Amino acid sequence: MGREIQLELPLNRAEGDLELKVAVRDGVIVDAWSSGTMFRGFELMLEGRAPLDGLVITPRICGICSLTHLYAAALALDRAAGVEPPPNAVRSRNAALLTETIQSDVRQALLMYLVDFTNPAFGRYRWHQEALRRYAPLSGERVLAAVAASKSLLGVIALLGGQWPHTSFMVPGGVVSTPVLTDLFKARNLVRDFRHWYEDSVLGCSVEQWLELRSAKDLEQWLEEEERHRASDVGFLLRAGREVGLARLGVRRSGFLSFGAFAVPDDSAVVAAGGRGKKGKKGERLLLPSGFVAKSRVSAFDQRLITEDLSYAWYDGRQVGVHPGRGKTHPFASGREGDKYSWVKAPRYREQVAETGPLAERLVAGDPLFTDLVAEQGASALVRQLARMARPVYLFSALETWLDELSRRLDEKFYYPVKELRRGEGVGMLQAARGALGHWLTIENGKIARYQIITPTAWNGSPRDGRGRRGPWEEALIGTPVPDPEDPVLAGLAVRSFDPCLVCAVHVAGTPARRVLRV
Amino acid sequence: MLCLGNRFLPADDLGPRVYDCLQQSGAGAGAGEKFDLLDGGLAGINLLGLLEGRRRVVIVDTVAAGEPGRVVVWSQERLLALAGGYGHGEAVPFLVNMARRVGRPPPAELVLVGAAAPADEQTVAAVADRCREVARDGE
Repeated sequence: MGREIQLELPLNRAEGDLELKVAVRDGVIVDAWSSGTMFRGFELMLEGRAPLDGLVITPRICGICSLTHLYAAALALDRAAGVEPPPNAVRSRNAALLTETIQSDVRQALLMYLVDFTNPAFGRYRWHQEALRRYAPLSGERVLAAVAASKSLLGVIALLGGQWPHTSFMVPGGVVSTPVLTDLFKARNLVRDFRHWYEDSVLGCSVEQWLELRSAKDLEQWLEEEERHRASDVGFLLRAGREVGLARLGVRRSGFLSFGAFAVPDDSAVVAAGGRGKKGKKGERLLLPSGFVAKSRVSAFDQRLITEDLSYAWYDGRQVGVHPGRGKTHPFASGREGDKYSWVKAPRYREQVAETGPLAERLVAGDPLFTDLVAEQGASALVRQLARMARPVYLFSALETWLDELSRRLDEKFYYPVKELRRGEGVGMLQAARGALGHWLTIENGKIARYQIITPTAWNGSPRDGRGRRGPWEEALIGTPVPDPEDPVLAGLAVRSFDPCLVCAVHVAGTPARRVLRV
Repeated sequence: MLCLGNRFLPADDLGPRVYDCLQQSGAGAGAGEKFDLLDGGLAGINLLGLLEGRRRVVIVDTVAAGEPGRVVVWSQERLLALAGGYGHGEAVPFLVNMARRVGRPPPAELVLVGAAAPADEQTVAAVADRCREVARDGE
């Protein structure tokens, strides 16, 4: 048995400040510790402030998913105020969030993930030159196209809400920006143009053709049957990913969580999860259903089963099993906490470790293709990244339909007035691009008394809990080969399949640790 | 004139403070001058649309070069050469590269005016003056 070495792997090309410490023996990772290295204090900033301040402050947690935080904050306030916004507000909010998610997935894939295939460590593969041509950071054809296309698509949010990032148009009761007909035509054109580019270049086939794939075998056949399937970015991921072993990296087997997202108004033509008439939690029909998958079984989601564990995180207070509606954020790090190693609290669902993100969404939705892929190879980095790159397929139709419906119903309301909020409690839960996001809000005496936020990367980049169980990507890293400790590219591919965003996971602060190696 | 940076971090606050200085002294299109004065904060690649179609762009930012207090002027070529890729901490070189390669159309001229941190009041004023000159006369 070889000597065990410890490596610190600071991850660039992830949003925010993430450090991974891994133990490597005989060239393979045998243990891992994921650390969010910056505390920022958003939850504490909000205490004592006016109830609506969360709408302005929480989007500043992140420049990539700011609109998701806005939506979660607005939902929590809707619930605290006891108001249900009018259908047009729901359409407008949804259209904006769908846009943010779609452009995020495309940028993650073409700017942050596929670039790893240009690593010189992969020089001997026949697709390496192709990778350089497509994904080299400044000159890659696909990089330039992705920047142009995503920039254009974001115009939809500017039309609906005034700006992006840090859009401000959602308030309790609805939205305060009413588009005019020409705005909606422009938005519709932007979506259509983007979808054409996505189908031609990223996916390699039409959305309809992709939706016909229902098994791993179908996917194999799809890849073989046409050159344009192989030539797309998804095709490249499948071809190159398989050769570097991506189907055996970053594997997890159980615990996938989705909070559900995109409420479907009763009179909308958009098909809700499970078909028309099926009610999710609280009677809502959702485009993306909520739920939890453990050992291949899908169960209904119950937010009371969420807890945060502080056993390995630099916080003061009761260590285990606290629901975010009752939890507090008291950062505490004297340097003598022994085993504690992260500013990220450890969220757990039904006392289990849970992964969240586009793959979890597919599994919770009972998607036959992804259910079969996971049954066959586990939730590998390849399947996880594929789920992200394909996610726009499942979102375009709803986005286009809601924009169309808005254009035919501009005379209907976008806002219901809300009286001043003196006291109340509300939860806003939805799916950000990276996975499940929740805001838990308590208002007392006209001020925010408590505000707790659990972000997708808190789930995925969670440290261990009081039972010593590793967080999702700590677990996923076990078994990853590190043939060259100076260049742990496979570890990077495994972790980046989760699309880590540490600016969100630690909305709390610290000092950057010493950088030993760059991934 | 696009002022970049984080006004809460002394290591990165030159851009916002120059913005404040210029705005207070009545600069920008709103005051009848011929340039738009913009506070771009930390928005990185999302500022691409603001650079497209411009005759001249002046980016104002903290630079890691020279002693504090010295005003630095960098050409577009120099900025293009600095870029590594897409990621935190590399926003300006990446943005300038994308503006050149993807901008419809790219800005005709682009210059960066800055200084090393920390910036005292005198440096802020000196950078602001140089920015105005460059905006008016070019590099």
